[in-house]
Amino acid sequence: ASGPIKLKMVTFLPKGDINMTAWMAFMKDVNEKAKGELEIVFTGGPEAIPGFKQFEALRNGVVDIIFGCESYYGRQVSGAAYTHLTRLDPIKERENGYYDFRVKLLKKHNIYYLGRAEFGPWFQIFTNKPVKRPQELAGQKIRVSATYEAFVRKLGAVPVTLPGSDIYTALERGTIDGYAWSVLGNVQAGWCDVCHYIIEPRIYQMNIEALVNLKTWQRLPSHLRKLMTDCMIANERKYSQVMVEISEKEFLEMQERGMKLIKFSPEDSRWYVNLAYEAGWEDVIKQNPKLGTKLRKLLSP
Amino acid sequence: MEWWLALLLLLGVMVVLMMSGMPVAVSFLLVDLLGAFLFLGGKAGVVQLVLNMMESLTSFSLLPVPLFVLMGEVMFHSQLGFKAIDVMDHWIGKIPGRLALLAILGGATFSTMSGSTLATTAILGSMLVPDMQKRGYHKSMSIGPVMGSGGLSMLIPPSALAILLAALNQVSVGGLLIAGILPGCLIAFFYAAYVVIRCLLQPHLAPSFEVPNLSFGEKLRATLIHVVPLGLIIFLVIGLIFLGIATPSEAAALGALGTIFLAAAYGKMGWETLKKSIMGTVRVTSMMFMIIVGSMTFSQIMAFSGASAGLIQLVTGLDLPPMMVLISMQVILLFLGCFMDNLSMVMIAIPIFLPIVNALHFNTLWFSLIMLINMEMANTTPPFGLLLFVMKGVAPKGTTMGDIYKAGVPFLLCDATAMVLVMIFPQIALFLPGLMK
Amino acid sequence: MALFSTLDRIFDGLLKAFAWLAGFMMMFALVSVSVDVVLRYFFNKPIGWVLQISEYILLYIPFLAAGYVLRQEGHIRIDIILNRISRRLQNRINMVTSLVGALVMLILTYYSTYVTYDFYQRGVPTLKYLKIPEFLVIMVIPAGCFVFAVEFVRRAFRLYRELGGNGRKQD
Ligand code: NA
Ligand code: NA
Repeated sequence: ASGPIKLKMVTFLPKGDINMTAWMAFMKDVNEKAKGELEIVFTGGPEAIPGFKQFEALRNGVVDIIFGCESYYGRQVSGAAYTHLTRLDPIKERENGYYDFRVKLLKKHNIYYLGRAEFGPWFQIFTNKPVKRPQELAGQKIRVSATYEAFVRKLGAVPVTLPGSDIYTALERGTIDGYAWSVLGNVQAGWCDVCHYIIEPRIYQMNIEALVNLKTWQRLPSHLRKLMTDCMIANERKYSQVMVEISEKEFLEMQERGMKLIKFSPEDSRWYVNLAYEAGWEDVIKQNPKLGTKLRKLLSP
Repeated sequence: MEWWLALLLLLGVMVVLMMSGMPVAVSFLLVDLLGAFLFLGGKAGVVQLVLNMMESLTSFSLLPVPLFVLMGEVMFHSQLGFKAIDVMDHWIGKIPGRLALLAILGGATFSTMSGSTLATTAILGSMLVPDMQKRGYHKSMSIGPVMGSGGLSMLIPPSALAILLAALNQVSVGGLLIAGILPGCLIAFFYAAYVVIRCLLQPHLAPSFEVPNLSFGEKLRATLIHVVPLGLIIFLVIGLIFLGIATPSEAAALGALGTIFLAAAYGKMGWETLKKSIMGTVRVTSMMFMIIVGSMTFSQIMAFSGASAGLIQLVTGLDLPPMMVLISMQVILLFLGCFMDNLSMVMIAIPIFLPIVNALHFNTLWFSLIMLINMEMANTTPPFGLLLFVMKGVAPKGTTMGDIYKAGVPFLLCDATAMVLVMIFPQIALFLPGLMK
Repeated sequence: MALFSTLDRIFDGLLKAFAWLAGFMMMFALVSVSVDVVLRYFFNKPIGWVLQISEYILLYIPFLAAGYVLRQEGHIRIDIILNRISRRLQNRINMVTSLVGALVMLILTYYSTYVTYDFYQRGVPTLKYLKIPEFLVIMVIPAGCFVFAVEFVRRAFRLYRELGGNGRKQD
């Protein structure tokens, strides 16, 4: 008798990163329920396959399954990364047809879309220059990645591109005024020691997906495919909540470490959040008008 | 394939290839091809290797490497640096091995301005080593001190690697930077003590030479003309970072530009000099980066095949007392450091070490600093170490790798002594960060 | 023979041209990063593409220059053992390692050409600031590897010719 089917898995974050909480739980769940039949094997993080090349590794069958950040391959799939712009939870995405749409989209790349590997954490802007109204952010130098560039530009702020490893020194020395980032990871990177304010309104959604090589997926017996799908859906339900709790804890810890919250009036907050999505979608639609328009409709409440 | 078999196979082939005189970069690439085919999976694996090769270099944090090399080359070809060293030499008294001491002093000083070990070594090497050889210094007293003090820039802030390590180990970045100051000074002191004692015992290693006795006024004048302007470049580099005008990588560009303009201001920047400097930089950069391509992708294959994890788990899984675990971790790192670049080495080790370190309740800041010293050593432990190759790149013609290995050993022993001291007396690392609170 | 020496000279020219292109690119990165700092600090108008382009240049420099560096014997080799054996044996070993090196670089040329062509056909974009097709970035790998391979073959020939005489290397 042959042993269990082994799925080689890589992740764009190193083992032990807080963002992988939900994903690790999913892996454990599958490995327990499919004991003897199927095993997801953690083969490594970015030290084994560089993050930006994991999508290709999956396409080519070097690995079978990845925990991947959509900003790393979104442009390749749909002309622009967009999944951070969703305003639905993963279960709604499954119900309203978006999930099937995404499956079809990724199929063209020899990849099967299993689901939202992580959902819950949001993004924020952090700055060293306090403001009273969002409009005052204009002119501030904000370090961005492609995810927030359009928004920061719309705010009238100056988007600065710097490697992530330079953020600490750039903040400490004032080369940049602030940066945009996920709510998770700021404590770990030490940035909350050199950055003093959090702009309160939360924008966007962590854009991480569980992807499987299409051939691997098709070769799996149907009961194992169902098992993995069920585990993924259960995980999306349960861990979206858990990840939000983890994020809230981190959000509090940043404040305990001395970062102060900048709150806007309700109208200003609405304007700010609105602008974030407006700018994000505008950029996506500019890259790919047909798909962008459709996606915007699908992912808005 | 079992991880240990994979490890033996990959390392075995690589050692044979390197010993046969195959260029190091190409030895790595051949092993990479083999490993990619075996472990990443046939042709798709080799395709992945190519993709990984691309990714290993497209990183902005590598930009200071060619730029600092260029600074050194410009100083070297325009002869800006030599005059400055001559002048500093006038000020230093008749101490045994004074050029070697100058290298250590210069290295420690330059370390406070450079976050890149490679760049520090390259600039010290191209500025000092030819001069030392001209003065009849033995290779152990020229290459050794330069390589040793080049490594200091990893400990003494600013340090790109300290920032990275702090992020990986989840400790305060500022804390780790500050923690490096005392151990860095300690190591510099050991280096200096070693140089003085060795030169007292064997004066022929560093022949003393007569420096025309200049009056105080003349010395001052020479300093104003030849040293102070160099200080301006250095100030340009740190000053821009300090004032928040530029990031370290950007400051490297402005520093290099400043050096070219300064050489021009001295009337020493002809078309020929610029051409030589650019070509020299391209040569050294290509050599180093091809090795980085080979070694980074090699580390990735080791990680993917499970060889690295297996090796580390084997040694750490022996259920030893905590101090023994700490020591064996450092021994593993030393061993890995012999063969691969220090960044890849910690990338592989940290995910496995860190949970153990936490389980044993070690102070992670202290642990990170010990690791940082280890990373410094990995740069000079034979047969593979980036500093060794940088040295080879800037050393005079006829210098063999053997010469470079030998020259490095005493300084490695100094590093090891410091590492042991930090292990026994954690306060060496933790005292300054403790003051921050 | 005349054809060979012409080809030889053309190839030497090509090596130099590639190395010069690498040098030019490095200076371009140097200047653009500096200009970017000035524009950002004084005018609040940074150039967005500088980071991305500099990263690509970091890939271009070593691959463009690798063959030229081999021509100048500038690649690091471990010579502890080679230095202890006869010149003749040294030459032979170097010849073999050169041919093996050529083979390695040819295999890499083949696969990187495949990747480049695949990226070109699929229109894979880069994922950063500028939407440059990724094949334009990665194509330096096959180009550099090929030139590197040819230079290894030439090196083997040079060593062979040295062996042909009295077996001693003429410096
Ligand atoms: Na330093
Ligand atoms: Na080493």
